Amino acid sequence: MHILERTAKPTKLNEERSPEGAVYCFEAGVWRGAEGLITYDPRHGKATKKNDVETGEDQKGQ
Amino acid sequence: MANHPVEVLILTGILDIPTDRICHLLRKNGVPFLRINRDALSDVALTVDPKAATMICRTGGNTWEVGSALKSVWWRQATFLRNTPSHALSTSEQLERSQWSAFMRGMMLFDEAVWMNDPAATYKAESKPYQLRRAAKLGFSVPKTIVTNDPHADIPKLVGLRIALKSVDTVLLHDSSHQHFGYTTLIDWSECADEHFHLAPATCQAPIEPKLDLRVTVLGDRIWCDEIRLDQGEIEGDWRLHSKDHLHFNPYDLPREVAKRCVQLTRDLGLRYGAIDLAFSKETYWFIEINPTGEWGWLDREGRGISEAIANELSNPSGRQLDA
Repeated sequence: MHILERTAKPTKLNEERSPEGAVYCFEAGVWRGAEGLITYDPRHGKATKKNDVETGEDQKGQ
Repeated sequence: MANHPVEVLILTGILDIPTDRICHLLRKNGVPFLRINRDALSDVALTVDPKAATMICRTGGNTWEVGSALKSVWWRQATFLRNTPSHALSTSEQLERSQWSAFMRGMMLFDEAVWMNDPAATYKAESKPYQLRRAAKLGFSVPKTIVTNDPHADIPKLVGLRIALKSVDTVLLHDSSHQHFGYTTLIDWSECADEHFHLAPATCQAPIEPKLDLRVTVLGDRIWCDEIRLDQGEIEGDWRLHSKDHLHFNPYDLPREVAKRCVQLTRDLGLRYGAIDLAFSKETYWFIEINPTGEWGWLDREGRGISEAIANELSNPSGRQLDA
């Protein structure tokens, strides 16, 4: 096995899911939870922290 | 049915939650925008006239018209696929994947709008060897770097016995139950140069130790710099391997000439926006990489004004397209 493959860190595959308890509004381009916009809610990790420490930043997938 | 002439077009993914802030600010400022998510394209009806450079988007009884009123485009995605699927795609999935990707790239037909960033420039700037070359030409300190698949390359002489092993591009592999992500690995060359090494190229770079990791967010002529510390200490190797709970991001005052060089590099690559990783070690600021689609939401703490600056730039873009 190539060294890059040997040293790649495995994590369990989990589908990217919608933020819990939030609904996406196409017209406004935002996710809203019970208490407003989740993008300003620090309880949602994806909102304020680097959102994908496990899989690399910047949504490089596609 | 409401009609909306669009001034700002945002091309991103539905889970790009930091971009919600940009949408919120645009709406608050009365700027008509349309956000299209690459992972939910079939949920809306899209019709493009390439000759006239217009697009109609319909959903939920509303219609958005993208055309001559368009001022700017926020391109929030990499320009080619990296996420190899973990299962064989059906023919329908293959069709959807290839055609929607091409559709998104086809948005380049809005060539009179200001792009942040231009997809062609993004494509070029995503190449790590290319960006290292450009950074070196602009006077950045760049660690000794060799990209090779040759197990007999004299890496100990060219780089050192101990290296920072990196991929040439993001490694994100999938099998049926796991994804495998490649981080920077500090390792002895002797552990790398085996009978499998020739199968794929790898980047061998001189490790920078000790170091302070810095992230520079560049938007036009503006920069925001943050230091990244582990419970107030410096970090060995790749900081992304550490738990978020132990990482600290603090504003950092970058020397004027280094800040200027970051702006120059971004511009040199034909970008309006860039996220640059630097490492400070023994009085030297080392260039590590630039990401044209780098994340900013995690650094946009209250009062920093990154989202506000992005929204303002999209609403009132400064100048024409840059030459890539």
